[in-house]
Amino acid sequence: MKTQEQISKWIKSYLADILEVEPEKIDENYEFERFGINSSAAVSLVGDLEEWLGFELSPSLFFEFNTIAQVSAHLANMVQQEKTLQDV
Amino acid sequence: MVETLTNRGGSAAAIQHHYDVSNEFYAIWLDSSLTYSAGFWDDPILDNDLEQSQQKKIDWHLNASGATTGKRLLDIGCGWGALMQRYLSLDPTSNATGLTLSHNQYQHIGSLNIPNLQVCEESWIVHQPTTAYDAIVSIGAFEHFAQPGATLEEKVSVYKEFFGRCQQWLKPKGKLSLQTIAYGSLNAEDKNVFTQTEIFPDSELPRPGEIFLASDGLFEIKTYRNDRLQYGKTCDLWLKNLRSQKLLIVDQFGEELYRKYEQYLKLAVAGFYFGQILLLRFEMQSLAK
Repeated sequence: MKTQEQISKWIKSYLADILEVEPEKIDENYEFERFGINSSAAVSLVGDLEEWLGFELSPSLFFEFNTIAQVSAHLANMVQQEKTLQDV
Repeated sequence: MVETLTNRGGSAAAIQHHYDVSNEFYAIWLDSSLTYSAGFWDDPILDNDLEQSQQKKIDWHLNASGATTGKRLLDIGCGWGALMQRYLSLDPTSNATGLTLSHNQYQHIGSLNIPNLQVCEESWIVHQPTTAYDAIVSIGAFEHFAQPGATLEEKVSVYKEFFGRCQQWLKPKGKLSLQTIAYGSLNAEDKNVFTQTEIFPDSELPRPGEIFLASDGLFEIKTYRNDRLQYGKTCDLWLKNLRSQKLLIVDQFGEELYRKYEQYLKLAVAGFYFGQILLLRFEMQSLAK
């Protein structure tokens, strides 16, 4: 089961790859706007996240939750909910 | 660029490419009124009630256009007729005329056999009413009036022609309620190739300034709203509906169509939320005396 920390690390690594910087340079409390992410990049990011996490997500994710820290916390909750559903 | 008489103001082939996929397909993921445009919320916190947001949108336009106090309404780009049906349900003695270039939409509305409702399978370019209208509404049609690659002058020219016709068809001081997607931070040259070729071929969005320029001297803009987050929310709700019916859609219409619409809605959600595209609503009053 993916944890908030693992999710945060995955997103940082993804953004670092796009931005061609070291993952350590990505501050998880920066707002996504500061990374210069446009809508096409957000859709690709959400698509890859869906594949990694194994469930569907809304493309509005990075608008509703402004920072990596916020998104990771939200997704970690979703992972927990998905697991509970699977266990029922 | 050479414009033909048939594609100036909206190409029938382009409209049919998108809207004539299948009425049954759209019925699966739109709301029950088959309203295929941004919903309206009066609360900044957008709830998940798609059905109610579409009814509110229709009522907003009926009020903004003055249709609710008039007897004759023209709906340019009338979709499957939800707005005209709502109008006539408020006063069955009124008269509504709808224009569409979609053959499926035309047939669907005709099959409803609603008294005092006429639907014409024609562009506004060739529409020739014999009696003035009290109100005009146009939702989600303006996006198709200009051609890809058109210059600013060409776009404003066709938009001006549209506003001129509307003014000519309205009674003095009559109102037009207009809703359209527009470019925000996105430029025409940077637009998504997938959306341009697969989803809405042969269509070009306006920029807000082009609408102001084209309507100047013809209409007074009484209300101007940018409700892009409301369209983002609407597309998000459509996407949820589409995904929840994936098995049915893939079974009846194939995986390719499902994937195409899923991708289109994902891009639309993000486009509106990021402000790359806007959703504009105008209440305009004719300046003709």
